[in-house]
Amino acid sequence: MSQDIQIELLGIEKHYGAFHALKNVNLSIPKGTFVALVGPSGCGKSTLLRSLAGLEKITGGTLKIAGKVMNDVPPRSRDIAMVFQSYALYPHMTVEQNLTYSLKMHGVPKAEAKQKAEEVAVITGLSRLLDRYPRQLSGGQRQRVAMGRAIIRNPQAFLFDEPLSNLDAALRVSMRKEIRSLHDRLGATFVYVTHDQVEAMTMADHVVVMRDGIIEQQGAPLELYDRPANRFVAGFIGSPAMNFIPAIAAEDGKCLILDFGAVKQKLAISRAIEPGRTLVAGIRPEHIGVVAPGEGSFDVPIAFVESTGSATFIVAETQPELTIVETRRDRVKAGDMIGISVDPDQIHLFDASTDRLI
Amino acid sequence: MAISSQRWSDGSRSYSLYLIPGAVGFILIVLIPQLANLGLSFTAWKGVGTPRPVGLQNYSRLLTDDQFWGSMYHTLLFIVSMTVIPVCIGLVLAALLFDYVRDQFGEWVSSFFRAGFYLPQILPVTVAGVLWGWILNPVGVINITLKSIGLDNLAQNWIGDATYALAAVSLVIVWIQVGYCLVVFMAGLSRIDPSLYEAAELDGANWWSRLVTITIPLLAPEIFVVVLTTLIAALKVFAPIFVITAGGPDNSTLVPSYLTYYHFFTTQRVGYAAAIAVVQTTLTIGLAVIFLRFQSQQEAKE
Amino acid sequence: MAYSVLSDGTTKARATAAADRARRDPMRWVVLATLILLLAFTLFPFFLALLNAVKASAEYAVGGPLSIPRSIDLTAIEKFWTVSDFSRKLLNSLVISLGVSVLGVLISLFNAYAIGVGKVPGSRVILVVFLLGIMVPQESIIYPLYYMAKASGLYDTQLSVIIIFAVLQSAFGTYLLSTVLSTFPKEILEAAEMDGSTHWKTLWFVVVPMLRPTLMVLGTFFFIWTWNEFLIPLVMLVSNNNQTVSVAMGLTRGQNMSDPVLQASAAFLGIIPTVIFFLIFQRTLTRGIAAGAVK
Repeated sequence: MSQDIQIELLGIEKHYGAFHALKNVNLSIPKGTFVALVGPSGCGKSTLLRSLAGLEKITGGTLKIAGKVMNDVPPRSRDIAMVFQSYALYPHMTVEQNLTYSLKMHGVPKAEAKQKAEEVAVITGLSRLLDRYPRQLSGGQRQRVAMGRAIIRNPQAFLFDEPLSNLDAALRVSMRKEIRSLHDRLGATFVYVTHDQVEAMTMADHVVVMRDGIIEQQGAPLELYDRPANRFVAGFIGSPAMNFIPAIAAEDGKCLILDFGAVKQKLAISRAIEPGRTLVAGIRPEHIGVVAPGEGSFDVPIAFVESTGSATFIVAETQPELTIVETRRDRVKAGDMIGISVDPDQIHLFDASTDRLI
Repeated sequence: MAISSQRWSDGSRSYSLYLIPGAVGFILIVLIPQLANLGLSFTAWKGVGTPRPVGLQNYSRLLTDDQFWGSMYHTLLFIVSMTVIPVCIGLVLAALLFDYVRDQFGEWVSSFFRAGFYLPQILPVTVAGVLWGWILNPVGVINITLKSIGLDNLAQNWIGDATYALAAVSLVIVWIQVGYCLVVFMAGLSRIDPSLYEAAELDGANWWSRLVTITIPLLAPEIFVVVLTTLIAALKVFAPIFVITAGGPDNSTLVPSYLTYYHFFTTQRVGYAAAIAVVQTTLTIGLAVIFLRFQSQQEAKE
Repeated sequence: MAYSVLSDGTTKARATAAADRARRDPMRWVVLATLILLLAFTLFPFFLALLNAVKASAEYAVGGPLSIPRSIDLTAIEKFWTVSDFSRKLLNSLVISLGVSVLGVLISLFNAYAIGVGKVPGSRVILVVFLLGIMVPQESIIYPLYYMAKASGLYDTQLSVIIIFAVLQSAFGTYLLSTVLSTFPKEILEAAEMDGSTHWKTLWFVVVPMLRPTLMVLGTFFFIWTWNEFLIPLVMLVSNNNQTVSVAMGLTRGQNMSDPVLQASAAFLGIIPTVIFFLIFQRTLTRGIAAGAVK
């Protein structure tokens, strides 16, 4: 028996005049999943979210929520709540009034609404702030009110539009945990838009990577990390970004000739490739090991070194540059030569013209 | 990315409903009367019975009507007193109060003067008319004062004498209008970067040259708005004339608005009055269009 | 040099530096004297009206308009008040101005909601048409309005004047409010939509409370402008009972006003309400303009 599909997007198209914002987007979200929509600016993730909410009207395709077609249904009838990037709190209303506005709109009696507000305030840690006005709250508190406003409606699904981007780094980390645990507690479907792939990776059950209006790849976070379907996803997921080196398959089909411009290096791979094929080798910085010169596959000079105390970032002076991350303190410095060692299983091969994973 | 979200088609429709009261009001109070007035201008009518169509007769009569042309000429004169003089005085005063007085005497003194000069604006024009009518009266304040200091010969019948009536009304108008220009200009001055003045001061510019080279060019938007609004007001001026001189003496202060009123409600030559009103309207709209186009050209240049 | 920010935003350092330089400028006293003279000329009529309104006629005959009354004599004021039924005129003006203020703001609000928030197609055309509509002289609509009022039985009623001015003033109000509403935070409106709010409920529960300072300013402007209106009330309110202060003032010329003290009283009584309004509304106006500026 397949899981209940909460939200279904079939062939979604969205045009803004001449601009094609969403191109044949297909997405199935089972009930209770935490889905992250992630991608660079302008990729269409916010447009998709707003289309889900009903704030944008889609120009093509079918949108179903809980099995019912919702294309022409206005936002207020979709039973979906949204947490906005700027929180969008009503400035002239107290926290309690902000929370209960939706209940007021649906004719819930005042006493009942007040009680619900108090319950939600406990969940979101706002109990002592119910009489305050938004201007008297900190950014983090306002964020909680925005979430509380969504929670109190007990909707089928929650939509989040980059809710943490206005918070400082430390707050962002703690709020990530809170939002995730809120999801686990409520068991509701969360659709979460962010441009920060770390957020997506740490919070979501299912990550959808978008670019230019299409879904490049979707899957569990680690799936995207381990097996990116194309060069874009490979470079987008993971930080620091994957290294890409142009290469040609060697004559014996078991090695790559890495093209570092003037210098060519040989690197063993774990599978057979037709000789002479042009491709791009992708290796994550964390999968490159530093050994003494001569002891690895090849040697490179160091351009500069950065240390955070717990990790060392080494940038090799090659063309293209190689970024290496070591989770230990290295005693190398700029100008040193180091040996490069790579686990052949961790080398991703992308076709040079299609950018797809081979 | 500044792409405005499309509204639901039914949402847009439901918003359109909100335009209904305003639209109904506009049609009833502005559109229909305007069209009706236009239609009336092609008729001869005494206000009772049916209007009799006379084609362009009213307009051709206008062409030879001395009173009409006189009123047009007076309008030009009133433009001086309603636009030119107040704008100039307003500019100088604004620069003086904002730049010089604020430096020398402080913010409070400057605001005090501004409030004082603005006071005539808060009066209904009719009250201003009564006030000045009393002052300019042949046995009023001015003449009595002149007599008391021995300048008998300067005392005139300011209102009753055709030579002086226009000047007298113009004085009242200037008195009323300066405050408006002043306040608008001072508000505009506050958006000019003070460091421009400081730089000019360091370059040795005195107050006058600062006014001419910095203030006036940078205040162009405000000057434009004020000139446009005062010009339109000058074309429409009615109350001061009604209250102080009733268009006289000898039609020396007659203006189109008064003439229309006169023909609508005194001589009951409704069609004729409507024609004058149409001329007035055309002039006003034409003026506004020209100016607005000029302004958008200026803005496009920047 | 210490820096502090003055109310208008400029730093005090500048004022201090300029003042340091300026204190040595002897011209400033000449300028001040000129300004005081100009101000005196501007305010003198007010002062004269006050002075002579409370003067006994006899004193005027002896001392002229510039003499200071030895005692406050309110007979002229009382006379004018009763003869012109001034309390009635005040009431009329109040009712009409208030009516226009409220109705005008309402109409402007509805229009602006459709244009600024709803972004109804053709908005720009509508705004231009509205603006042109009020720019033209009232003479071009007065006769048809007069005729329509007579035909509908609304002639010589306050309602007709209220409706007319509410519509005329709302052109400006629509323009102002639609500009303000077009910058209204879109996300709050969307949040309200998500919360289940209809357009109507959003207007009253979300937009209007946030717009209150601007609405107050607009209403104040409408009140003052209507109070000062002349031509339309002159034509539409023909009976004494219904006239406004402005009209009553305007018609004093026609009445026998040979007594200068009586004239001064008339002017004085005409001035007082507007000065009172000015003082009351100053706070609202400055607060409203400041609130708008902060946005």
